[in-house]
Amino acid sequence: MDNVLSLPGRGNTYFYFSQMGRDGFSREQQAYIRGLIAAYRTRFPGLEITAVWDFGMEEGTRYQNEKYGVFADCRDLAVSNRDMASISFNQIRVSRMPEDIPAAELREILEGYRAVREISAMAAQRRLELMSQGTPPAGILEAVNAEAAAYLERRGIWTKSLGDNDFPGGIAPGPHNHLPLEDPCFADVWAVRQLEESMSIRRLTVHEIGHAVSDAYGVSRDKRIRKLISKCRDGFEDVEEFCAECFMASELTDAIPLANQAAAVYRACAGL
Amino acid sequence: MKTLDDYIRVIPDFPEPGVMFRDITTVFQDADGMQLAIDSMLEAVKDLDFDIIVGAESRGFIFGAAMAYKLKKPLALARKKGKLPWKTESVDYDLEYGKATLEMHIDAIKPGQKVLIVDDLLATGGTLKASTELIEKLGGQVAGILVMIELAGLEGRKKLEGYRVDTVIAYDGK
Repeated sequence: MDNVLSLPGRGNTYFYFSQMGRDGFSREQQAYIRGLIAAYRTRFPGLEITAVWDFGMEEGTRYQNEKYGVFADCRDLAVSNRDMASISFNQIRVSRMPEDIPAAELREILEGYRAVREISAMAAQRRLELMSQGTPPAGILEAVNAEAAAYLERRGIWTKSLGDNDFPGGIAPGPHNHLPLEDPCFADVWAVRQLEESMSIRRLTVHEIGHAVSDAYGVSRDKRIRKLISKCRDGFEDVEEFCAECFMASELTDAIPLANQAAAVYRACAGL
Repeated sequence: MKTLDDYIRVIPDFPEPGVMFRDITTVFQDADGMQLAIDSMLEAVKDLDFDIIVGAESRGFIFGAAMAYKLKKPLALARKKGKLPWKTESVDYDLEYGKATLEMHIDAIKPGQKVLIVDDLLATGGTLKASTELIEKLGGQVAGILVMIELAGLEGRKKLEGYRVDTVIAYDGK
């Protein structure tokens, strides 16, 4: 396989992958990544990706180094480097993933999204009712949580993870999702975060391409993006991750309005 | 009970002597025939995992649209040259006499999406082969190809080696 991809637009993309047998990308996986890069470069001609490589080639060591530590234990799975216009993959961990998110997993996330959206709306409604009745804040929270849990049990969703927590692990605010349950953006952020936690080569690659496209067209600086994130700032680590995660989510499904709105800004910035 | 074959009108010696033309307009014209055709096509791919249907111009649009509606999946169009209004990717391919071009909008397929190509007929395989190339150019993964009729005598399948091809009716001749 040729290691250079020449397309109209901004320069060539060079691919460098370690030859490591089972501890690196197979030829099929390399071709899959290359196909994704080619397709997005075709769609976004201003996209500049000079190099796509793995940690082994980037760092010159196969299993560990000072920057990433032991690759097999490293939390970084893929990294977009703006200065170098490169994308690098943790070949030890990522090569063990499926190419695409399994259909059943995607279906489960989208079913969960619909349920979370209902719970979120229900919680907002319940809070208003209790407030109008003069219920103290602590009592409101307790009632809302109890009803959300009961709803989940009725629907048979995540009942196995219902424990001592107020919410099942699947719905509880995550590391970057600090929005309250009744926030209008809660369900959309939840769904984007669930997709972000799914593990596939496609998901990781598209996320990093989301960063690269944003860099190429100034998406994260666009005022429409700033307006969008202002509604759900506590749901994401920062505006760069908001852009990349929403772009990724919109590429995996059309079901999440927040992600689709961010993707529309991507298209507008790119003149598409 | 009528079979799908019963709804297809056969016209001998059209468009040239020796050819048995299989006219599927008679399938569309009959409500039961249309339902049977769509149900049969859905049945053929019920075990296939795909994200989007691509209908090949022009009768692929009819089958593709009905299937997409039933399965609640998106539909993208692969059209002949010059029909699409926005930015396109294209593939040229050979016909028996001359060349043709197939086009799709550059954002019709999201890279990595698993695609089912739908058309009415597999004859020499030229259009379907071009469709696979076009989809792959756009970053899609061809999960399968589905046609209602296959003219097995023309050996179109050979051009599509490596892809899953499902047909509802196969005729031995040309």
